[in-house]
Amino acid sequence: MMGTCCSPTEAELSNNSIAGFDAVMLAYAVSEAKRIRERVPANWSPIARFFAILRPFIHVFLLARWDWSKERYRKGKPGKAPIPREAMLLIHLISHLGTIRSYRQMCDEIANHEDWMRALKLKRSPDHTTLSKFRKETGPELFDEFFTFSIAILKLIGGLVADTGVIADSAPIEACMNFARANKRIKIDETRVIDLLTKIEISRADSLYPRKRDGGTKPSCIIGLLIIFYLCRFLSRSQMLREVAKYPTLMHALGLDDGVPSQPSINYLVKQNGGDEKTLLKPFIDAIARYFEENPAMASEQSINVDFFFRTVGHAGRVT
Amino acid sequence: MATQDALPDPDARIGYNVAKDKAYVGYKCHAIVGNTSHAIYGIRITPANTGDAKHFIPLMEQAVSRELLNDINRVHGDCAYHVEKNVDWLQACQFDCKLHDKSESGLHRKNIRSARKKSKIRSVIEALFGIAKNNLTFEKPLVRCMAAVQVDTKLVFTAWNLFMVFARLENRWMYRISVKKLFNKG
Repeated sequence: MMGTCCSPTEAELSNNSIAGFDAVMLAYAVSEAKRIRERVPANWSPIARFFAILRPFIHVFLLARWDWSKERYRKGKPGKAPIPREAMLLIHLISHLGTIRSYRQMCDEIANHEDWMRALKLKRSPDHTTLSKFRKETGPELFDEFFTFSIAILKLIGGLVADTGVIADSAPIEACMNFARANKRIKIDETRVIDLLTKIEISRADSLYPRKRDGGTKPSCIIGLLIIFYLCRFLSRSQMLREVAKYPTLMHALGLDDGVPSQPSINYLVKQNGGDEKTLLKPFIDAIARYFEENPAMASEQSINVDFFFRTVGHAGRVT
Repeated sequence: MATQDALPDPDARIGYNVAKDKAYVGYKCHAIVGNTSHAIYGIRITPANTGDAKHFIPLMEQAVSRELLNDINRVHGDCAYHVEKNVDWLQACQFDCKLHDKSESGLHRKNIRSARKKSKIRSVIEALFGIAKNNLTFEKPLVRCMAAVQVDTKLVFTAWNLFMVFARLENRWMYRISVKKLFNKG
C-alpha cells in the first residue's frame, strides 16, 4: 500500500498540542519539509535527502526544548561558532544505521560525502569527541523528549491512524564488553612488585600520613596496595585485595602478616588524609617514574603498565 | 596499554533469554509498538536481571502521560507481563487487556488456537526487533554504562520513527521499516 503524505487536520491542530509539542509549530515543520523536498537537488543521495527534509523538524524540536542559555558562544566575541545543533542530532540518528559501526566511522563518512555536508550545512566533519561531548552535555532527558517528538510528528502526519492496539515486549541488549579480557585473572609478579615497593621507599608513607590512633593497618601498607591496584590494572579494589591475599611473600613485604585489610580501612585512610587518593599517591610518583626509567623493559610488558598508571582518563585508575 | 574495550560495563547484569535459552550480560529493552504502523510508542531500559512484569506499568504510564495512547484500545503482550497488578491497571485505564496468560503458551493442547493467535500478534514485535537488530545498531550498543546505553537505544528508536516520517513524506510508506529499501536510490 502506497501511503500519501497527509496534512494535519483542523481537528488535530485545534488541540494545540501533540504529546506536549505545539501542533502549530509541528504543522509548520511539515509544510517546510514538503517545501524543501521539492527543492532538494536530484543528484543527492537518499541520506542527504533525509538530512535536508528532516532538518525543519529538528529545528522546531530544538526551539521547543533546547536550553539556549547554555550556549557559550556569542557572535562577535572571541571563540569558534559551534556545530549547528540540528546537524548534531541528525548525525546521531544516521550513526545508528547498521552499516555504520561507530561514531568515528560516521565522522569519516560525513567527510567523504559532499552532499551530506551540504545537507547538514557543515563546512567540515565534526570530530567524534564533539559528538561524545554533545551527548554527555545534553543528557538523557533531551533524548527522551526527542523520542516523544518523533512519535508526535508521526501522529501529526497520520502515520499512526491505522493503529488500534499496541504490543509490549522486551528484547535483550548485550553489553559492549570484551568477555575474554573481563574474565581474565590478573596475576601479580611478586618479585617485581616487592622490588618496586622497596625502591620507592614505601615506608615513607608512615611518616607522611600518620595514623590518628594506634593500631590498625599501617599507612604504608595501604599506599602499597593502592599502587598495586593501579599498576596491575585491577578492575576493582576488592578484586585486588582477593588477589594480593594469594601471595604470602608480597603480604609479608607489605607488612600484612595478619591478612589483607578490608575496603573500609583503605577508604578510612583516604578520607582521613583529604579524601583524594590521587593526592596521597603524589609523593611516590617521581620515584615510580624513576624506577621505570631505570628498568624500561618492565614498562613494556603486560604485567605492569606505566602508561595506564599515568593516564588521566580511563577506568577507576585516574592519576594525574 | 589497556584499551577501553578491555573494561567491563559496570551497570550490565546477567540476564536470561528464554527464547534463545541462553544467558547474556547486559540490559533489557522494553518497548511498546503499534500493531499496524510498527511505530515505537515507548521504550524503557532496565538491567538484564530484573523481571518484565514490574516495568510494564511505568512503560505504559510514560506513553499515557504523553497522550500517545489516546486512540489505542487494546494492549497485547506476552505472559511475562500477565500479572494481576498489570491487568488491573489496564482495566482501570480502560484498555482492552490482551496480555497472554500461561495457558496460552502453545504447550497445552486445549489452547492451540490461542497459541496461533498469540504467535500472529507476537510476530509483529519480534520481527521489528529482528529488523532493528539487522538494519540498525539495536542490541549491540557501542557505549558503556546505563545512562549511555539509554541514550543510544533511544536514538535507535527515534531514528526508527523518523525513518517512518521520512518514508511518509517521500511517499514510500511501504518501505518504512526496511532501511535498505528506504535509502536505496530510485
